[in-house]
Amino acid sequence: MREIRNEQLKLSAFYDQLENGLDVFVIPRAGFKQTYALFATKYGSIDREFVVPGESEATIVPDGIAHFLEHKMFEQENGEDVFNTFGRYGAMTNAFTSFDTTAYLFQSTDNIDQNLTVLLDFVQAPYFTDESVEKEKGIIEQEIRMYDDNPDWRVYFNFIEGLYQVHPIAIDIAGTAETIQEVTKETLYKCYNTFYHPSNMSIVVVGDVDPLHTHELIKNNQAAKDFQRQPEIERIMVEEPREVRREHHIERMQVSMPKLQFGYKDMSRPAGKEMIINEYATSIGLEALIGRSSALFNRMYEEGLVDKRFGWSYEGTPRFAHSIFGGNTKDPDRVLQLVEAAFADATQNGISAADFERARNKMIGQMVATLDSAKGIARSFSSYFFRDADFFDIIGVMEGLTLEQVNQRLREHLVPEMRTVSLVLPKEM
Amino acid sequence: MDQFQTREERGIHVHVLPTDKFRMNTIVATFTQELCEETVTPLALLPYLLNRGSEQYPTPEKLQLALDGLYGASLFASIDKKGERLVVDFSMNVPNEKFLKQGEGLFQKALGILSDVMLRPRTEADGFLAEYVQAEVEQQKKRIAAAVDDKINYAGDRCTEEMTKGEPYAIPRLGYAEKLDDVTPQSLYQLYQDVLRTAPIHIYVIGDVQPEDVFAPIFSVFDMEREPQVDFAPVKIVHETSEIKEVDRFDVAQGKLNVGIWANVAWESEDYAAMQVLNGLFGVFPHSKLFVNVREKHSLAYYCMSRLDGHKGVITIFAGVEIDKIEQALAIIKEQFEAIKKGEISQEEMEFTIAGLVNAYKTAMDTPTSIADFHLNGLIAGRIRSREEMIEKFQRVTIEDVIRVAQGMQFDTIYTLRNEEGNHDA
Repeated sequence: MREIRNEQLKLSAFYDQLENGLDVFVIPRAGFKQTYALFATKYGSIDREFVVPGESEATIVPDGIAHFLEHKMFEQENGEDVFNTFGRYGAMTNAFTSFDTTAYLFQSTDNIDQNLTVLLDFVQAPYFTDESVEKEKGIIEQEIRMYDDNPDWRVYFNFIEGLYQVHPIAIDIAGTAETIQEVTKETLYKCYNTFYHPSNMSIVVVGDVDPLHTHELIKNNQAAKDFQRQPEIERIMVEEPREVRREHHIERMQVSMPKLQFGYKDMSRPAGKEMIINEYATSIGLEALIGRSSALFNRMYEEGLVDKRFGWSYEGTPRFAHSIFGGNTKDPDRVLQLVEAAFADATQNGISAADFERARNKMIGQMVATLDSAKGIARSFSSYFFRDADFFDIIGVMEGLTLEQVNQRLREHLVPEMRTVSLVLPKEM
Repeated sequence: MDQFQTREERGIHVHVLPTDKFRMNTIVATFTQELCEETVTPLALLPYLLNRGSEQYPTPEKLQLALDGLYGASLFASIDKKGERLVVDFSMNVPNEKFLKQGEGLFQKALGILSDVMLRPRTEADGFLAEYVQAEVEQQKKRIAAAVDDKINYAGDRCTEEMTKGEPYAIPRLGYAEKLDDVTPQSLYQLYQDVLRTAPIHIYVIGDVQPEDVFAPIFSVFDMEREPQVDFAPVKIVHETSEIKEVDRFDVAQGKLNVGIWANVAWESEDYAAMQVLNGLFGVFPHSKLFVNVREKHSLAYYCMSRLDGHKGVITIFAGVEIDKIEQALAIIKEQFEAIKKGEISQEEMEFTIAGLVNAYKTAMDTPTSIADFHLNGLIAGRIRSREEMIEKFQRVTIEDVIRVAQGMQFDTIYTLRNEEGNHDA
C-alpha cells in the first residue's frame, strides 16, 4: 500500500492493487462521523456489446441490463435482502448505474468493519432466479414510468439522443418497458461474470478510518475468495460520427414553462491527465463565458429570461464527451440567439484574462468544497480512477492552465454544427 | 466538541461552532416569522429580492463577481417552512484559505457581503428599488407555477394542503401568485423593517474560527433597534380524523398515491422519539414495511415511503404506482399500518429502525447546514434536544411505545394524482 499525498489540500489517499486485481483506496478524513464506501465496476449502460472472456463471438445484451443487474444484486441466496443485512448494522445502502459505471455503496457511523464485509460479500455473490428476475420487471417498469413523467429527465435524455447518432449512450440507462422484458437470469449472469471481476472494479473508503486496518480487512476478505485472473474485457464500441443526430427536438408535456437544454458533442476525448486538462480548460472557459457572473448570464437574467438555476456542465470521458447548457425559460429562441452571439464572439476573440482568472479561482474553490463531503470525495475519486486519472491532479492542472489553452479549447469545442437543442414545451391545456 | 457557543443581544442570537473538520467555513443567518395568509406572499419574496443586490454590490452581476472573487464562495437565499413558521434563510459557504495558494481574510470578507445583502438593500422613495421588486415578482410567479412540474412533491403538497385546510399549515411556502401584484416596493420595505425589528434572529457560524472573533463583528453590523417577538401562535397538533378523498387529473404515465395521517404527537412530547421510530418502521428505510410489502413483495411501486413533519405531527405517505393498481396499493398500505397498530413488529425491525435513525442523526453532524438546521428546528418547536439525547431516547423506545402511539392514528386524507381517463370517483 502506498500513500498518495496532496500537500495543498492536506489530504492523503492510500492505494493498493490486490492480487486479484481489485484497486483499493482508503482516504482518511479526521473528525467525520460517517464512513462512506463505494464499490464500483467499470460497467454501465453503454457496454451493450462485448466479447465474454473465453468466447470468440461478440454478445449484444438487452438495453437496460446493467441497471437491471444492479437491482438484482440486492437479493441473496440465503433469502435475506441485502438492505436487511445492512440494516442490522445501522448502515444506509444504495446503488446507482450510470453510462459507464455501476456502484454499490453504504454509509454508516458504526460497525464499519461489518458493513465493509457485507458490501464486499454481497456484490461478489450474485444469486438470481427466474422468478425473482420476473418480479423485478414490475418494479423497474414503475421506475421507468416515473422518469417518463419527469420533464427534467425527458429534456436531458432527448438532448443526449439528439447529440449521438450511434453511440449507446443514447439508450436510456434503465432501458424501456419493452427491452427489460428480454432480460433473463442467464444474460444477467453473463454480464455479471464479464464485468464484476475484481480486476474491473475498485473500492473507495472515506471516513475517520485507519488506512492500515481498512486495507488489511479488504485484502483478507479478497484473499479468502477464489478469483482467477481475468483477461482484459473486449468492449466493442461503434465509431460515433462527428455530426449530431438532429439539430432540434421538441417534446410536449404538462409543464409550467419551457425547459431548454442544448450542448455540443466533443470529439476530443483523451484519457488520463490529458483528460483532466481538457475537462478543466473547457470548464473554466464555459464558466467564464456563461457562469453566473458572466456578462451573458447577467444579460439573460436581467431580461427575465432565466433564473439562477440556469447553468452549464461538461462531461469529458474517454468514451464520450459533451457540454450541456440549460434551464427553464419563457423564451428559448431569445436565449439561443443571445448565446449564439456570445459564443461566436468568444470563439473569435477569446475570453479576457480577468474572466479566466475569476473562473479558475471559482473552480478551485468548488473543488475544495467537494472535500467536505465523504460522498463527494468517494465518487470523484472513483470516477477519475476509472478514466485513468487522479482526482488529486485537478487542482494542479487548474493552476497550470493558461488563457491561451482555454481559448483554444473553446474554439475547438463550440462548433455550431456539433450542437443539438432539446426542448420540453408546455402542452396546450 | 459539537457544542455551539452562543451569545445573544437584542434577540439576535449568534451560535458559533469552532471546528477544524471542514475545508469550508459556513454562515447561516435566519429570520423567523409567523406563517400567515396576510404576510406569506411578500415574506417569501424577501430573500430572493435581497439576494439580487445591495448598496455595495448593487446588481446581481456585481454581487456574483464579489462572491467569485472569494474563490467561489456561495450565497443562497431561500424561504423555509418549518411547521407554521416561515424562515427567511441565508446560507454562505467560503473556502478556508489554508487550503488555497492565495487568498486571505476570506471569512471576514464573506461576512461583509452577507451582512450587506441582508441589511443594506437598494432603496428609493421609502421603498425597495421598484425595478428589482418587479423582476422578483415575475420570478416568483414562475417559481410558484413550476411546482406542478415535479409531480412527486406536488402530489405530497396537495395531500397535506387538503388535510390541513383552514390551518396555517396549509399555506404554501412561496405564498400566492394572485397576491403578488398587490406587493409594492413600499409595502414590502415596511414589512422588511418589521422583520428586522421583531424577528428572532439566529446566526450560525461553523468552521475554523474563534468565537470571540465572530461575536463582535456580527453584533456591530446587526446594530438595529429591536423589539424581538417572543410569543408565537401555538400550533394545533391533536386532530379528529376526517375522511377526505381528493383526486387531481393530469396527463401522466404513472399515478401518485399519497395518504395523510395525523400523528397527534407534539415535538415536545415524551412520545416524540416513539413517533419517529413508528414512522421509520413504516416507511423510511428499505427494511420498512412499505418498501418491503408494496415494492419488494408485490412489485407495485418503485418508491413507497412515509415522511414525518415533527413540527405539525403529520405523516405523509408517498407512492408512485401504476394507475390501475392504486386501489391495490392503498389496500396494502392500509394493511401494513394496521399491522403496526396490532404490534406485528419484529424485534429485528425495531433494532434496524433504531440503528437507522441513530445513523442518520450522527451523519447529519458531517454537514454544517444540517447542524444549524437541527438546532433551529429545536428552537422553533420549543424544545431543543441534543443529538446525544435523541439517540439515547431512540434506544429506549419499545414496541409497546410504538403501539401506544400508533393507536391514536387513522388515515385522514387519501389523495391520488392520475390520468384523465377512468373512473372519476376513484
